[in-house]
Amino acid sequence: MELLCCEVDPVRRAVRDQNLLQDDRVLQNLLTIEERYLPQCSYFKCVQKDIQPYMRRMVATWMLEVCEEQKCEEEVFPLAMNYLDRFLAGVPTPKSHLQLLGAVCMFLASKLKETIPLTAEKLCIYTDNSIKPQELLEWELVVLGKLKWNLAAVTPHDFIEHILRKLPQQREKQSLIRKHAHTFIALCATDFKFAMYPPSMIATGSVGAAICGLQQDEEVSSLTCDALTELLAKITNTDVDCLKACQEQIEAVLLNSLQQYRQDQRDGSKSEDELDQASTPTDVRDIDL
Amino acid sequence: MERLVARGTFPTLARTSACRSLFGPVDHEELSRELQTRLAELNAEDRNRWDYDFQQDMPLRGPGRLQWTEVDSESVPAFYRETVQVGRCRLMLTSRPVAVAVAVSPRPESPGAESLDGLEEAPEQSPSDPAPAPTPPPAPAPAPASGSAQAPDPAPDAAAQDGAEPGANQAPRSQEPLADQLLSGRPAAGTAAASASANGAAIKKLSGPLISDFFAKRKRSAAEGKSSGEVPGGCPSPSGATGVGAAEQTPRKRLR
Repeated sequence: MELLCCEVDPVRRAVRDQNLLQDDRVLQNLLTIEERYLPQCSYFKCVQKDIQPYMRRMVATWMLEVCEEQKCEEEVFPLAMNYLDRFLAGVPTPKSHLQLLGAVCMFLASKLKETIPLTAEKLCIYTDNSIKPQELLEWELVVLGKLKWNLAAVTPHDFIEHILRKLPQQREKQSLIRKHAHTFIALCATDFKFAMYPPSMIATGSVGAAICGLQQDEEVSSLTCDALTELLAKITNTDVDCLKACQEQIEAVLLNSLQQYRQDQRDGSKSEDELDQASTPTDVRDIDL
Repeated sequence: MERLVARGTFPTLARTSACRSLFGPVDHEELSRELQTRLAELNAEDRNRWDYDFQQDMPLRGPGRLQWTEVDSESVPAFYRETVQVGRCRLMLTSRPVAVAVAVSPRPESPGAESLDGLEEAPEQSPSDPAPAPTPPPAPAPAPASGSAQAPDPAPDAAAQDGAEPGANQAPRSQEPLADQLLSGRPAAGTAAASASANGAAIKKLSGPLISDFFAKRKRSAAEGKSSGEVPGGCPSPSGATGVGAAEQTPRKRLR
């Protein structure tokens, strides 16, 4: 007799609510309110003196690694980046506090979205103990206050299901498209170029880039890329040219990070372990361009 | 499962390359000073927004955007009062005298000023609010008199003034003045405060989107509906008010 020991995933997920997905008012409301949660300005020019764009990329890359290693829900990372950008748009911050801020934002986003949230202690370990849990908790209050406790921001993820169900495609390809779109969204969140873009545009651009990318290998959609972009633009009331530009930017960012990854690989100076932690999520590497 | 493993067995994975300090060592003293500055900023914002000193738990002096008036704690719903949790029991604090206040916003446009957090409720609230504090509302004439006479216990108060009213309308009529003073902080609030500035905790009726806004709004429409005579059949309560608006009745039920 064999003994089988099984543990169940402690996180129980609700099924996708068809009532919400099929009601167009939900999508329209998301489109109406999404602008409220954008950062108020491009803060590197007007607010921050110490922080440079490359530092945002550093902290974002680190945050993405932590979220992936901790198997956070997909939404946590983009939401945390939304908090980070909104905070930085209002509060001048020295670079030495940036990692703490990133940790606080993950802490909050995780609490909002996850059944088992990240703990303060864990996040502090991820900063190599450069901050203390107590500091994290104290700053949590500051970030909450500065964000006016408005944490339920609209993220690109909120749009993905609404968009996917309006596209003509084979059911079995949907999960692959979704997965790639999620990766693109994470990629966009690491790049400041996209910080001021409305989430709906990032979502449509990501879905577009995902389908066009996959299309080269196999048939995932009956539409051509141009027809697809037009349809996507119609779904989220976006200007077609804006959307095209956005999609191209996403593809450029992907290419860039792939090259970066190959560069790292060629250098060979990094240990196997570090390679594994390269800033690009694993599945991006599977996309053949 | 995968996730459980990832989180549960953290100590063994402790040193991955993600564990790193990005921008060098953190100056903890500087961080703490910065924290104090930011917290002070937030406190100042709150203070100005509500015209209230949250450290001292006192309204600010002087003419501000909001005007705070004390009301009797027992005239407000239970959930505004201070409670202590002892084991599984929640006890009401009655012994400690705490200032009880209702604030009136003289400028109805102020709630709209905050875009994000003043969502829908605040603007809708304003029509009911702007009445200046000293003017008694036209309809419920008995309110000021009985309010000043019997502020500490609103229920008998309500019952007393019912005596003057036509019988059929008893419960609803008694409700309306009470509801009015609660939600808009109008005349009766002042009189109540005069007679009993005693016990209980704070109710803050403010221009922003607080729970009290929702509460007030809902209750108001209920009260008005009833004052116009459409009493639901199952709303008898000769003894006063107990059966009428569930939320609002809770405190009185508890007091008896």
